[in-house]
Amino acid sequence: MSRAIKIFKLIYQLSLICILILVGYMIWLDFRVTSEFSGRKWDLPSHIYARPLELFAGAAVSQTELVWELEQLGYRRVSSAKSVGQFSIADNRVQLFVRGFDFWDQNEEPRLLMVEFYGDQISTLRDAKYSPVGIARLEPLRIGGIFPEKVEDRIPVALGEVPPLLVATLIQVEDRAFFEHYGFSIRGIIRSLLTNVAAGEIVGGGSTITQQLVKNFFVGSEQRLSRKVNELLMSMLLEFHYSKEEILETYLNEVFLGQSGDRAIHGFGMASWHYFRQPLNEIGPEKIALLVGMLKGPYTYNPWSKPDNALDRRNLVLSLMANDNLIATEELAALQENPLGQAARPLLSLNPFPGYMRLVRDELEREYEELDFHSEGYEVFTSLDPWVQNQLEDSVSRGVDSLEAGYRIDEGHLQAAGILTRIGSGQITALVGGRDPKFDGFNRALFADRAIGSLIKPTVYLTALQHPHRYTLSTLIEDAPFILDAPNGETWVPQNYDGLARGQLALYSAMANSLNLATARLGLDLEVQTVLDTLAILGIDVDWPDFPAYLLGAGGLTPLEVSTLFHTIAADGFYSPLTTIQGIYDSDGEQAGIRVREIEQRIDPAYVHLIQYAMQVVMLEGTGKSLLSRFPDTALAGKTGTTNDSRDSWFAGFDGRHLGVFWVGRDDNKAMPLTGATGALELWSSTFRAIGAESINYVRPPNVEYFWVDPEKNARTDDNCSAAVYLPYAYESEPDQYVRCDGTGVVESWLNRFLGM
Amino acid sequence: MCRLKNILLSALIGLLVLTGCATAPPSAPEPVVSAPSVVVGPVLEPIDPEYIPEPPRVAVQEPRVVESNQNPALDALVDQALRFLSEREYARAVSTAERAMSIDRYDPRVYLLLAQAHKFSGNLALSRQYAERGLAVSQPDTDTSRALENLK
Repeated sequence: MSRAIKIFKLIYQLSLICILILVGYMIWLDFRVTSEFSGRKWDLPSHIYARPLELFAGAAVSQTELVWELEQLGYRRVSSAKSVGQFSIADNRVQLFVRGFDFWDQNEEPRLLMVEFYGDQISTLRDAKYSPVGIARLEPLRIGGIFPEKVEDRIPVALGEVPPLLVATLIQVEDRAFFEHYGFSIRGIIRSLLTNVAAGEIVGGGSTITQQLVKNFFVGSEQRLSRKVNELLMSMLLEFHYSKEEILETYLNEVFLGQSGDRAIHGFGMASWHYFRQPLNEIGPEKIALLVGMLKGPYTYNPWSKPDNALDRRNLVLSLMANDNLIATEELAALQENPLGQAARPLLSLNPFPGYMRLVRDELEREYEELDFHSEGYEVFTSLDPWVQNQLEDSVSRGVDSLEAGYRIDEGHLQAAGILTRIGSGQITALVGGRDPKFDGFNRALFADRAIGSLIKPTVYLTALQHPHRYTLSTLIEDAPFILDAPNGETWVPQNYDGLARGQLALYSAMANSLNLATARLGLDLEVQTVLDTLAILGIDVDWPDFPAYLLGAGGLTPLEVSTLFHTIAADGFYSPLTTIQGIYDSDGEQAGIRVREIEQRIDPAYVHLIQYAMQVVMLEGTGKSLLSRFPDTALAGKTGTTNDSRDSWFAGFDGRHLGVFWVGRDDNKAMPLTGATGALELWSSTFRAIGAESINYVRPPNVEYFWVDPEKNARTDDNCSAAVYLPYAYESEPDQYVRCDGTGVVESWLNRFLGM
Repeated sequence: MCRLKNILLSALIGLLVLTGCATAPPSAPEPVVSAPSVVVGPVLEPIDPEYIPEPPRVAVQEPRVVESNQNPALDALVDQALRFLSEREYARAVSTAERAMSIDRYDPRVYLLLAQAHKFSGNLALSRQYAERGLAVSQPDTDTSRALENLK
């Protein structure tokens, strides 16, 4: 008897110990469940967006551009737009039901819009009642992301944002007793077994939604008894602490639904966009069926790689939906006939614009280092214009191929870079870092430091024009050979491109025709350091020595730096640091990392007006005149640049909206048979033709007056003289002398005053 | 007496001859720049004698008077920015004004809005810069230009 008591006591003690261990283990599990499930559950990626397309009467948006943007945003073309995400086309009119978007400054509500076009512009914008609409914005296109360490991509959705049909289908297929069980279901396991046997395949597993969530969130999918026990215990704990709605919402955002390159697709929100290019609230029953069906095996039922499997699986789920009256039985056949509806191709990398994105990331790291973009789920809005970017990429890749073929350059050796910037705001709208814009390699737009050649000349002439009583646009300067002896005993012998000297000519003409001799003489008269100081004022700090060769562009700059330089000129002397970031907002919609956009008047607008005049003459009769026939009646300004032995071909030019800087050359720095006019200018031309060029809005600033001048004599003359030119002068610097039309009889102004005339 | 008269007459004739020989005073060139202010300059002599360029058409315009702006989209954004200013939502006012600037960067009202928003936000140096920018594109002696002057 005592022995039995002893055994009983031992068993009792052991049981107590086991219970204690179990309780302790449960407490630990409970802590793990609550600490990881409460608060933020994931490291949220930050999503990066392009600029939103703005629609208004008079906007330079063509019908082609609008339709292209709508297709990128996943809008579907229908015969008549009746719900969000649809558009229709009738002749020159587009009817679209915009989705709406919660912008940083105000909400854009979903609504029906009617857009009418005339030429390449919007002529009218109206709402559903045909009332005029002042301005409307489409939602911005997502162009990239910054992902957490695990490279999980998701677009979190609240339970209320998920289509009820998807929730009902999910529960029906995966866990019918979800709202009744406490984390696991014996009946569910048995029912699943019977369903699978009846279907002849695995339709649903025995795990509840809660168990699946625990598996994904905590324990993994390894088939071990200990893991299953943990899964069971944690499921019960999860159900104890959290509501069914919270568990379901987390499941909808956590579940794995595929892979895209190195990026894992998690959650139905991201999956809808990945497979269909549509937001979750827009997909219909057949797409819901496909997504739910893919839960059993995202690879096995991938619509791109295994379309037959995907179709069968989807149709099976549709049948189940009809059995449970989630869809009408009479709709079933038609839905099963529908194609899968996936996008044309998977997004292997959500980084369609790697060149531009590199600049965005650099700017975020440099300017917003206090923000954690890998986990806090920021929304970053950039100034990328996808349409302009698309045209730029096309122009560069085709243009380089064409130049290689046309000039018999070794195939594959030519490279290029291009940057487009909105004038005034300094926002970069498009960027290409190489001839293959989709290749994320060496970004020449940002890092290729190349000699700029004649691109330096506007800086030289601007330096001169800032001394209006020494130099004006009509000042006669000498384009004649000379030899300069350097202190080190070497000599510098500049030459014009064609080896010819022009003699004496007007300053503006020397710049327009990019004459080296005249420029070098002018620069030496001003002193090299003074020119370099102007460069710094325009926004480029360089550590170039004050050698004369730098007056003709021996120094190197990147295309981005050249853009900064010329943007200050294009923006009438106001400097702004170039930027890609329009705004950053946290997951609550609050502005994060507030930065103020700088602007500073660096050069008197009166002098910039003069250099802009000279740059327009470049396009009319100088080295850029080949564009005249391609852009008739369009005021443009620019400057070509060619370096020694034609190793670099540059063009920097602007219209009324954009500054475009292009470079063409070889990475091995070998010579090529291209000048600025025959190389980079061609890429600029095809890009601006594609996006539509607008005339420069050339506004006369105060302190600038125009006079008719004889350019050969630097004297005022009559307005009916065939040789006269109408030139701007700053601060009363116009010529004192006057000459008659026939060129005779220079009359000093003092006689005019004497005669009282 | 007769001799004196001859001398005077000769002097008078001589003076008249001189006056007649003097170059006709040039009339001040009529300012061609007027509303609509578009000017076309004549052709220059080409360097290549066989090349005959088109006359350079460097069209220059006068700064725009604010009231002449007819862009409803711009007006809508300006009104919206003003509302944000009145509600002390300065960041939103700046954002809206920047949208307006992308539509028309030569409308001085845009710069006035930016100058005001930055001033109220405490960015005085930036406010002055936007005021300068606005003055560079505005007609003098308008309400907008006077407001910009006050912000310089």
